[in-house]
Amino acid sequence: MRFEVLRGKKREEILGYLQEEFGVDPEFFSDYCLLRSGNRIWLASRDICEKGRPESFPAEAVGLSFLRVGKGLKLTTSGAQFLGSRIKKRIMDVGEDELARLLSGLDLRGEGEGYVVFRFRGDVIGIGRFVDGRVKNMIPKSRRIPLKELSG
Amino acid sequence: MNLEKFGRYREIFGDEYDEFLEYSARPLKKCVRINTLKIGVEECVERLEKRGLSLERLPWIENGFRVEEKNCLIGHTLEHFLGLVYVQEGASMVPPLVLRPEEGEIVLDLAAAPGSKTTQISEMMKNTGIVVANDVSYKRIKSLRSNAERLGIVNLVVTRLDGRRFGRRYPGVFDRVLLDAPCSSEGSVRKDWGVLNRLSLRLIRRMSRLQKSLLTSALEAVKPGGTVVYSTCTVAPEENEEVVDHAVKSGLAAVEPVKVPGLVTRPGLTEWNGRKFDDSLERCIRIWPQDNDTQAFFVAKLVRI
Repeated sequence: MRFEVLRGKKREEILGYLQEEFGVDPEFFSDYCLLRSGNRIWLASRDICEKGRPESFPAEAVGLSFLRVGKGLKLTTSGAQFLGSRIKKRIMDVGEDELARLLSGLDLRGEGEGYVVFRFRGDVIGIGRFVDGRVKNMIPKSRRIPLKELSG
Repeated sequence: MNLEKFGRYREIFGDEYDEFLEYSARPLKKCVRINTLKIGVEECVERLEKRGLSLERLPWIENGFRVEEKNCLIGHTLEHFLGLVYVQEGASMVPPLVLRPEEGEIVLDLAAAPGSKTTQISEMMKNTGIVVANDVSYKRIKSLRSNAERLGIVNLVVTRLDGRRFGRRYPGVFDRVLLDAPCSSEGSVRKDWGVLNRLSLRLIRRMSRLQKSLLTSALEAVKPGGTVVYSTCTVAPEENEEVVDHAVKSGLAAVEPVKVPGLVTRPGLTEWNGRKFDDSLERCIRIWPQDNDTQAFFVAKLVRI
């Protein structure tokens, strides 16, 4: 895979999106760099871009898979968890029953538009998207926990 | 149970051989490492105890705990889902402690998947600098990546190259290198009985050859004066002292003493099966199951000459 370090306008565009949609202060990213490969944006330590020459390294992955680029941008579950309490907008607080539904891969009911960040007692759980009167659960299959096996 | 396969080590363990066998037959309690990139140790312990888990701190690492799983599986908790904890055997937490990576450094983990030690190294570096995590298997890299993402690791570069050639391709680049080598895994018998069925002298010899060329590659990749930590989860001297002895005799490295406060260790062997190793090999550590109630491990600290 080829990695392009996002600088200048390309970087500002991403930070602008995160500020506008989720209220994340762009200052937070001063210790991090952003890279793009294909339709994926990665969040990495500043040293990776400054000392690592990632453009020339035969890497499979660099840093954390942060956003997907499609028709628009989509924050990943790991990306949302990484930002955690820095997310100030588009938050949906869920209760225990809803949490169990989310972790097992089920959708929730809800009306709205665009993306939403699920939060349970202060912890960011993941991302959902409003579709036809429900909130589509975007937590990856590989991270789900079957409902009957959820502990505690 | 094929524990008689361990008979070849009777001489190493001496009077303690029976105790070694007894511990090897006992199932291992799970251990976890609390991911301090995401949460404080005490806060996390409190959260897990509320779920009915009881935790006992491992004496050699501040954020490592042995877990008593009563009616709650740690892997199925919200805390695990959020990447606040990582299930990792207590002895497997030792090699990064010996490596002692520092913030801002460039570190290589040459045989990294599934990423227990890699993510521990990233954590010790507070997510700064660069950790290059290499592994040859695509499938194992997938699990490394998903573990690193769950833990919120951002200082990682994942590569899939032949570890034996890595050093020649990137010579003298890294401040530190960890080689937690693929091995016959005898020490993991407490986690996986299948290990014994696969175990043979042929496997041990084949692993030993691979380990020697991986260690040479690791020593080529590190900067002059840099640290390379070599570890395995096996008892076989062919895969441990013999491999390190090979690196010492080739003039690439010198063995440094290993000290891990809180951990009971035994010195490396200086002789096996009539074969004499360099005297400095006694500076390596052997971790035996009966000493700390962990799996068996071997750790050597080398400095590049």
